[in-house]
Amino acid sequence: MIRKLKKKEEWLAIAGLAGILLLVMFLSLFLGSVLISPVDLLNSNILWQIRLPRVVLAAFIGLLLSISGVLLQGVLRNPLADPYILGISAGGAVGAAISIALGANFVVLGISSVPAMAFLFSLVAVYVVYKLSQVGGRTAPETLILAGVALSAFCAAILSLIIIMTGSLQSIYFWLLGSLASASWSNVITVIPYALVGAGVAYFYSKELNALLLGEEMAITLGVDVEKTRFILIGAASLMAATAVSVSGLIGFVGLIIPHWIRLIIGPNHRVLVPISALSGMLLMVVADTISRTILAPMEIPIGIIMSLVGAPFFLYLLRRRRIEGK
Amino acid sequence: MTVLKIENLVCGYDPKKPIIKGISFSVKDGQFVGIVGPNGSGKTTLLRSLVGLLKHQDGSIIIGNHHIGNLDRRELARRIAFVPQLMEPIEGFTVEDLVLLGRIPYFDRFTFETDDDYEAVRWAIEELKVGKLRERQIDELSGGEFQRVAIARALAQEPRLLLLDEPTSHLDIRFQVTICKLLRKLRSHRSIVATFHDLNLASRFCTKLVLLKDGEVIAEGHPDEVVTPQNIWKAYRIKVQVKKTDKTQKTRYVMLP
Amino acid sequence: MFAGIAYALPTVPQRIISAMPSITEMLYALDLGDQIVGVTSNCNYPPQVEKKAKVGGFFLNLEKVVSLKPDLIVMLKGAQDQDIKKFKRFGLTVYPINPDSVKGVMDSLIELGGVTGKQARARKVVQVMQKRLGKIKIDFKSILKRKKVIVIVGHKPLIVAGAGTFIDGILIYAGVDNIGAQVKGEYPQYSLEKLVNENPDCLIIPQGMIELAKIKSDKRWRDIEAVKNNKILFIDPDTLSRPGPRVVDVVEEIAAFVHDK
Repeated sequence: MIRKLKKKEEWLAIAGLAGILLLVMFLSLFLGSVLISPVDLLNSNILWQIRLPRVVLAAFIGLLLSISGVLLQGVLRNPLADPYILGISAGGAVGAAISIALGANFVVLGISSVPAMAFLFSLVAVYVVYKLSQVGGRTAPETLILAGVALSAFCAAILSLIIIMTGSLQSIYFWLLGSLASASWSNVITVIPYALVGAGVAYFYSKELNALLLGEEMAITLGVDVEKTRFILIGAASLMAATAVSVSGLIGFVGLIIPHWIRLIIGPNHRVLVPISALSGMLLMVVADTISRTILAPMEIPIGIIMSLVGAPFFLYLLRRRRIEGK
Repeated sequence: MTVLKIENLVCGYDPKKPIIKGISFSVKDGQFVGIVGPNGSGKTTLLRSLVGLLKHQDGSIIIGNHHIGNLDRRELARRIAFVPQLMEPIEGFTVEDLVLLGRIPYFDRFTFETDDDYEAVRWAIEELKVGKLRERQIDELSGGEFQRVAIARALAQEPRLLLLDEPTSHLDIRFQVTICKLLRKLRSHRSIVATFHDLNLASRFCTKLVLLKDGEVIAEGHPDEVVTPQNIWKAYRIKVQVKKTDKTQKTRYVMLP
Repeated sequence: MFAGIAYALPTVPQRIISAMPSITEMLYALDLGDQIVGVTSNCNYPPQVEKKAKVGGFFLNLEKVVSLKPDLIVMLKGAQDQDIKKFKRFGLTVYPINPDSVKGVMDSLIELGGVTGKQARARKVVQVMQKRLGKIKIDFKSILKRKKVIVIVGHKPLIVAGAGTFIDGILIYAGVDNIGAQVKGEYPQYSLEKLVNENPDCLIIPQGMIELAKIKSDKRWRDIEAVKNNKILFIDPDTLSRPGPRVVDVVEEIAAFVHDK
């Protein structure tokens, strides 16, 4: 079912998807746990301070996570890679837990304690994983993944320890489930620069990512500085994932499934894979977030739950269909 | 014009135990050089050091007028293209997509494919006669077809020197000959260096042979000069008879019973 | 309401261990302070409790408990079932209670009174509680429009006290409408925009969760009635969530604050 898109089709697909995204974002502004007429909505705080920043944030988080997933799957050459594989989620969770447990209440650069600590610890975790995997100036993908797994296990243990010792289970648990419920404009402002820079890096490194499809050695023979590319792309992916995690907790599934899903449809050429994955991730997050805040209103369902409930079975179906059509 | 000059090359994976222990030879424009020798003689190691996958410990590699160490990766990739023995077909790529990858050494950070690149791809596809397969998915191609596409990809790099690691080893006889004929034709504007397992094939199509054993050159030159019972005994430890084929007068060996 | 002598204690217990802060407070209310030999590390009221030996947090340390030679351990039925089973197997005398509502607290006090030989004292304490609650009821009966209140127990994400919870019971006794009661679940994650739309008259927030200045400066919360009129009650988190004798204090505090007395 993989269709290679012609140049014109590519642009059409990207533009079309962007159009759908904007439309869906617009429509979702009318949905929520409170029924308000469009006219009243324009004047209300609910639209400008609650729904709009939330929808915009959902879109950007979708972008951060899906591009991060594309980058890591490309660099690590592993289809099971997701934005959290190198310890981002584990580190972020520990950072958030420490902040929650200590009841910390500081603000740094306009960011409050839990997101700031989550961000910091995520990056520390990735750094440790990277350094541990560096042998003679080279970081092998397999080593990175294994180190990431080991560090995640270690962090999980620390997390459990913190929970037991401080009894802050409920707050930490909710943070882990991931939620956009507290979205505010300051979140959006925090996220935008990382999203734009990350997307830019991913797009303009499409050629390196394509070269890596042939394998590390072949990429070298094509003139690609593989080690430097890996460093930059892992760095970009980590910053994006850490930002997403710090602002909205652990939202799983998007970063793993979207790149796969899109790759199944349009193939692995990163020049198209990156933009289309980004737009699809944004769309998925906006839809999922809308569901999470309306389906059992006024109760909020953590978005990670919606993602997994709906997305995982759908992906399995897609995989099955592809295997039947026949490799 | 000398395209490649290797002098006293020493390299290997372990500095204390080099696999190549001092090799010298050169490749001129338009030559089709076959590197032959038993397993472990250093054929693949030699290729890898030429392509920048392995840093040599001693000696020099000069490409055109440049020492290999003075060329950055992209410059090297525009002069030397490598076709590995086995390449995993990328799912979801068409033939055209794959050949286009060969243009990566020419891409700028912020530009993607230009018309020049598409022209190079078109030309490479035609040279390798895979035009009809252009839109096909590469994981659906046969072994012989795929090998040609792989070579087209390397050709798209517009290299002065095309390196191939055992280009025929996993193909059946018919495709072995096809590929070799093709390579021989391709040498009109560049030089080709390929490692071979099959001595007869190499001596039939190559214009020059380099026979390696234990990381050293035992013989170098025209196939007639290199493929002799003495050289083959020295390299492979097997007694053979050497004859010339009737029609083409090419050298070949025959195993003694 | 059974008199609790299912455990047929031969004598009035002289060495009592309390497994929950609420239980500790109840024991003190029944004048049993001197008989308490062990409490948890979470127990902090009344202040005298500081000098008592500590036997654990939410989970108790068996060795420590045994070393104190208690003749009665009072524990929380349900949440502490695991420890209850463990101690009983060890031959210790355990009495489980379950004060899960305001009425539940009063019932538990009577029960405890029965088990510890303090029946008269228990009845007196409960009588006083009922009288105070009755007074509040009369006070707010005259109010025409019931005030809308919400108790926020979690900030990020926004979690409120729902229907059927201990806190909900307190609000009912205080004569206010709990907005959180509309949602299913005891402590549901609540939609911020719904909160803004409901426009509560009062917010009740545990101390230390968030600062007033932060709420007032947040554009999303600014226009809520409660925030505009500064009707935000910061309450001691211990008393809000502890089903003990001080529950009536909380009801009074909330009623007074909401009804402007």
